[in-house]
Amino acid sequence: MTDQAHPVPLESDVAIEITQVVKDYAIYRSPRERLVSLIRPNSAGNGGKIFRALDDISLTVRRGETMGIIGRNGAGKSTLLQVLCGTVTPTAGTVRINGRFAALLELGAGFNPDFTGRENVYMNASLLGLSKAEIDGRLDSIRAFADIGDFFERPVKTYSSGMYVRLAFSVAIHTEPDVLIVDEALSVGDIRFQMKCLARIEALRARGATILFVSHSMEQIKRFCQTAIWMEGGRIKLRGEASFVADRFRDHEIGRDSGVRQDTQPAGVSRGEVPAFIETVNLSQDFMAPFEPVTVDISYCIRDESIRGFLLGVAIKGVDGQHIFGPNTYLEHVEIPSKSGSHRVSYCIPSMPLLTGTYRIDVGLFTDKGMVCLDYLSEVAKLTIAAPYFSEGLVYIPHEWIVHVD
Amino acid sequence: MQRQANFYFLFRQLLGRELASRYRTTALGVVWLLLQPLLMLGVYTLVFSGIFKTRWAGAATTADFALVLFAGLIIFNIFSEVLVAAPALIIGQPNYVKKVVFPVEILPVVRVAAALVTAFLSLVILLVAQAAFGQAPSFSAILAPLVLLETVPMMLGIAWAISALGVYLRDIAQFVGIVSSMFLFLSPIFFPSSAIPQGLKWLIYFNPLVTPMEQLRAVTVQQGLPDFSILGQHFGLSVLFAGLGFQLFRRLSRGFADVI
Repeated sequence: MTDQAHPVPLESDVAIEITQVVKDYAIYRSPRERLVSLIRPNSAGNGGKIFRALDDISLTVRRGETMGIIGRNGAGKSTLLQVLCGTVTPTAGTVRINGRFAALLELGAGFNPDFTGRENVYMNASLLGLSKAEIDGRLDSIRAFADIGDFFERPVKTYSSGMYVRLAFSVAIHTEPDVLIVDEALSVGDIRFQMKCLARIEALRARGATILFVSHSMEQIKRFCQTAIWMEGGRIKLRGEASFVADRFRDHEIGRDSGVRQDTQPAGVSRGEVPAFIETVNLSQDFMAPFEPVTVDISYCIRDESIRGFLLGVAIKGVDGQHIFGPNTYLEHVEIPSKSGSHRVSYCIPSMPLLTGTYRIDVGLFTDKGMVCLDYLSEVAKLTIAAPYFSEGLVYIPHEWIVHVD
Repeated sequence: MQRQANFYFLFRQLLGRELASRYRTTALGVVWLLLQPLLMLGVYTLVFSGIFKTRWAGAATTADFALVLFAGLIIFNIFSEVLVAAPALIIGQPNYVKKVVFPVEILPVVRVAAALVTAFLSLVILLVAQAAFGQAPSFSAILAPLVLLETVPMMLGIAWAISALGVYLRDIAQFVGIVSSMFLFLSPIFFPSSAIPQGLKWLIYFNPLVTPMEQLRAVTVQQGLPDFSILGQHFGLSVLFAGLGFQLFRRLSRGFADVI
């Protein structure tokens, strides 16, 4: 699609320019058939079996722009990224990237398991375009950021998957790229490392780097990106301001099937190692009539004071997962305690506007403007509202009727 | 697109890695480099000189025969190491093809360089052995490294072409072993070119290993000068061949990710 909302940028302002890119995957019966097709491009015999992964994509990303990419699995997101990285050759069209480029797609894919962390740093960084002198100069910093101790001098095959990712991320980020592609690679690793990574990415962004951010979490897209594209069937279905695109996508997905994907998955780490967690959630009443008050009492525990910027969010959702209302303390400028120990915060609704139905309540504890999820309790409480029949619908919207009589 | 990798530095690292993985991780390490050619040389000398009683003009003793044999084997080993490894060079690195931006054309170059390192070490063994058998290598032996380097374009051409084709045609991996054995016996290693009957001369006209083998023997065991004109022609053709091999590689590399 063309987008009038984004005027054609100046030449020097363009970080990524994709022009009419098409990627077809011909379905070859055997590698030999693929060979023949390369040597004699016009040879028939393929039977016309072609899968079009990218269908005429044109996209310009300005320098310093942070763009989210959303879409279902199979929509073409990965192919687009691979074309950008140059690991996949487009069937037609051109891709131009200005400046040094790094992709956090498959962290550590270029590592050789038999070689030490140090050796792999040199290999990997030179692949990303650094000279030996540059790597020498950054080695200490790379080692410090990865924070894997003596393992730095040991073969990579002895690493845990966490250490592997730490080292790979550290190398990629130290190339100081002008264009950075972040896939969901960041969901691995522990929370403190995730925060370190985000801080680093934020610093790159502040310096004017262009970032493409692929995520299934609409919340992350909204918080992190300025613009977003929504891909479907190999095309860009919608492009625009990030939260607008993310909301349209969510609406679309809800209409499509009732099992909506959870935005923020619980971190899945055991409580022993998390820096903070939610202890209890209590509802003042779980069966009520409309317009009654309700309070959600939350107590949470902080273990690690060094983390700042905690925020709590409470979401009310329908039983089908539809997100009805979900404010958080950061967006509403409420500061919550961040000293270590237990704290209590109450979320009060003086007059519940929801109509008859059963609703679920999710509570989440985050940091970093909501980018990093520390704890997320999905469906921690259920709330049933029962009312005599006075209206259809989900929510009471203040209104009045005016009858005009001549 | 993204051709930003630091080629030379990458090459050095890969070569170091290649050599190290071969010699660092084994118990005897670099000793293998000496042991392997010496053992093979022992067997060949025993069979051809001791059992078949092969005669080589100008090589009267068994020791002389061993030196002549060894010189030929140095060239053959470069060829064999490159050819046999080539089909798996690209297939063996799926991550480099699919997951990261990697100049895969460098992998065949590294393979050739590694084979050349082995050849240089073998050359040192040859010259030391020559001296040990009482014939101090002549001044012309300083040209021997040149003869080894002359094989580089030919080997690169082979490595690029076979490694690229090997991605699509898996049968090649089976085939190269046979081809290597054929060249071992059809090249003038165990016999001089002059011993080939007139009717079979075509065998050596079309064998690209003949020139480097003969020239290497000329500057080492025969203590003479190489035939610069033949060497020059061979080099010219080799460069042409390398160019073709590279073109083929570039062309076929576009489909690597689709089949690996």
